[in-house]
Amino acid sequence: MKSIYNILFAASLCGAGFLVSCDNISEEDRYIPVDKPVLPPHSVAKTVLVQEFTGVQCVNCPTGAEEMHKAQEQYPGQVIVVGMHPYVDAYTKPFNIDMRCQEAEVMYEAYKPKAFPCAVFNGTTMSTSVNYWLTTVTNLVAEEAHMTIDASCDYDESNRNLKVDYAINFTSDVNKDLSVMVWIMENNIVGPQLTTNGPNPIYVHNHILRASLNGDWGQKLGTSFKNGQTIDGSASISLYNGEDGPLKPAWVAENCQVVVWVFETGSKAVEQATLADVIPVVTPEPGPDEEPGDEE
Amino acid sequence: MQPNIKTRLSLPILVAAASLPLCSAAQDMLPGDTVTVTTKTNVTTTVSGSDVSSTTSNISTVESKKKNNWLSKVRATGAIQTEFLIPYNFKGERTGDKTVYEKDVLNNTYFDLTVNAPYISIGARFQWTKWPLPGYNKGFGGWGVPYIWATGSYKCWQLTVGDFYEQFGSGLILRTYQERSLGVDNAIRGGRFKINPGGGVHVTALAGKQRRFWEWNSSWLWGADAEWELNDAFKEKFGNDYGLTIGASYVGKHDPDEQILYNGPTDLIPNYDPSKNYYLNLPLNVAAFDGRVKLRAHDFNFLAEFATKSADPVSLYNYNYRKGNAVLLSGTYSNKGFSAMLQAKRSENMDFRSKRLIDGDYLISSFVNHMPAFTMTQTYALAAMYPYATQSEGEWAFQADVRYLFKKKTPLGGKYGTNVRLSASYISGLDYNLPPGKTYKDKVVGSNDFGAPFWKIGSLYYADLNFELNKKLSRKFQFTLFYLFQKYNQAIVEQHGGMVTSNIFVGEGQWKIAKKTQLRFEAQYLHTKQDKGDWIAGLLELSLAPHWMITVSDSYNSGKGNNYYEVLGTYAYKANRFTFGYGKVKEGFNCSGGVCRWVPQTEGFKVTYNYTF
Repeated sequence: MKSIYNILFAASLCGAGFLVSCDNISEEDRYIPVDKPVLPPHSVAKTVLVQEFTGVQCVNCPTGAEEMHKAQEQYPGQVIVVGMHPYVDAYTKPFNIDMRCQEAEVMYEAYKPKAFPCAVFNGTTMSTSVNYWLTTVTNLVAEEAHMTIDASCDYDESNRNLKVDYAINFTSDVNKDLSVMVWIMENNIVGPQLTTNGPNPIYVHNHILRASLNGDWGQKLGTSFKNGQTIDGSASISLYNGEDGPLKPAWVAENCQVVVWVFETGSKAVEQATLADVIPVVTPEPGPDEEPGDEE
Repeated sequence: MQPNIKTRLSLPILVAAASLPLCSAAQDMLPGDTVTVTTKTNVTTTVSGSDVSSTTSNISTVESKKKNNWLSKVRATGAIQTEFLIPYNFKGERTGDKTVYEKDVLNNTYFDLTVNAPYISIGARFQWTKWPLPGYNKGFGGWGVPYIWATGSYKCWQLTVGDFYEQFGSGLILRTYQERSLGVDNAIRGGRFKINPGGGVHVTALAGKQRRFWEWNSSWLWGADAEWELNDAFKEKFGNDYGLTIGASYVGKHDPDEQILYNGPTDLIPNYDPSKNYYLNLPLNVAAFDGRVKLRAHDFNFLAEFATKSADPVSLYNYNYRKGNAVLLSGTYSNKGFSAMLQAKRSENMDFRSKRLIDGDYLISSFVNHMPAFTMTQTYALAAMYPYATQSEGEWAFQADVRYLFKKKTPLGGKYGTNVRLSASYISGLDYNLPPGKTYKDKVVGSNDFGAPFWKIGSLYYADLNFELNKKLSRKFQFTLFYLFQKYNQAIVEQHGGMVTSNIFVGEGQWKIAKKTQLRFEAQYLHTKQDKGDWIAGLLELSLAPHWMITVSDSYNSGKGNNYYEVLGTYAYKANRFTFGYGKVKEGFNCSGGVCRWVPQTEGFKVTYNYTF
């Protein structure tokens, strides 16, 4: 008789666990609207700098690039993406264009991403979960910065020399050990890329890090800064002209951009970043019947 | 409205409390569990007046005897495992620059201690991996006592409080385990109750939170498993040649709510407002069920198992809301000198973890279940070069294995007999219903994309064909010949590259030079036109019984011209084993049971020590 009780007890014990149900959420109920993040009035927005570790052999990397493009579309002017092609054969071994560079290798050694694609947001938050990148950007775009950066490029086409001038304007007191880094990157490089659908021979590679204009980890700015203080600086480089052969074609100045970013020296946390075209795009003057700001 | 989790968890506990004194005394008797003590205890409740003192005296004598008896049965067991690497002169395959390690000496140390006594066992594990060996997930570094438990057993009951490992069935919905070579330890911290009430019935119920390196995930897990061995309940009907076991399991998971931004097409959102962001409405409760039947008939064994899981969106698979399922069929035959095995598995959306956001640095963590890899475990270095990792997003897997012993004194068996083994694996993806130009990786976040017809097989992920011949030629010499043909879809398993086709040849010999001296040697060759090209490898292992063993090995990659060598010495004394040496290890995947960890190239001095007591 006791045996029957035992079995009944065991069955009830097991059955108790089965009482739990799961949540079934219909397709119509899967989206919860929330207000977009907004900055407090009179504050300076921090531009999100994303270092994206990617490579031509990495089949999931185009998905990562697409996700970052979505983020840039959703938050125009607030997200800067820099594509890192370090010397990791498994992911970046070139087909016919070598986009690897030593500066990307330095970043790879600093962050040691376990898998590609991998994004490092503002120098501190690292993620390989592509579908979480937009969430991460959303969480960061509402952060307040303590400075603005103005950058301008002076490019001499005759000798391919580029001079970048920048001005860092502090909008509040800052007591941190800060450094500034100046990078050059190139867009619209057409070349092969592995994808989940197989090889794509005419994939357009954008924002590829080409070089640093002021060393592996930039230049130190100091440790104490006052509200209203401005620090001016400059850096220069001669644009690579393709002397190493067809695997490394010359940089196209029209496709190049410069990224200037300030970061905390120890933690590498990005404080602010800005972007400038090497050859600034000339915006046509509005016509006599056209009001500034009119859009189709 | 989500049900209150406390209410759910309390239910099995209440049922358990109401039914406690049920097991019969004859079941699962433990050492020291004597009827005498029970009888004397009953006496104290009935005696009165002057009899009390003498009775008490009598009881204390018995209790003293029992105590002595109990104490004398207390046993402590344990194990120490420690491994050091002193990185030296590292030259990577990347730019040749020196990899910077966190410390000059890297070390993984584990110390397990268990104390067993009648009715109760307690145990703990000390782990020192503050500066671990290279390649472990980022969260792995740390030290402390992450595993501590106490188990009380009485008759047919067993209650564990603390950390524990558990598996329901084949592990399709629950398997927690430790695999040190991978850095996997997904023990559950909580409570577990087991009862074997007799009649071949075994029931387990558990609840807790799961370990993720040095943290415990915030998701709650709970579940129950029941298994009934009908051949135990109806012994006369089944006899000795037949057996039938049925089992069913349930695992529930309660996740905390999270804000995951929707990044898919806006036309899927009803009444879309462009001024808003949209977060996913995530299911907080996930349920998984498993049912299985095991049949034994003479030399045949069959297993059929089915599992299903409710919508469980996770970052790894585009926060997909599609339900998961898995089917596993296995048949084996084993008789003297011959065995055969055939099994098949189909799984879809069965990645089940106690954390939704799994990042690259935590990739092999938080597994609630385990999907076994249907491939042969390779022991030779080059044969293990391209190991397959289970694709829990969905796959079809088949495996067959046949072993035969040609008997002694037959033309093929010779003087000592000949063992041959032929095995093969075939693993493919599912044939998803995909829109033009899309792959299954293009699932829209928050959707039910993409379904796959059950019987259709998709593109090849992995295939191999293994042939092994083992032959003893004389009392002093035996050899093994091994051939492996392999197709490995690197783009699927490693997310880079393409299909790697390789042919691997291995020859191994064991020569007993003298009574206490034996030499083992291996010669291996891997041929492939893809990835890094051809490899050759060799190994010499000299055993000087009973204490010493010296191993020298080398692998050479002709594609890159890289050489990976290792010289190791091992000294064993009683339960102690001490290994030391110097070597350079190539980068690659280290896999166990279909779960893989990327190991970077390392070079340096190694020291390991193992001791059990």
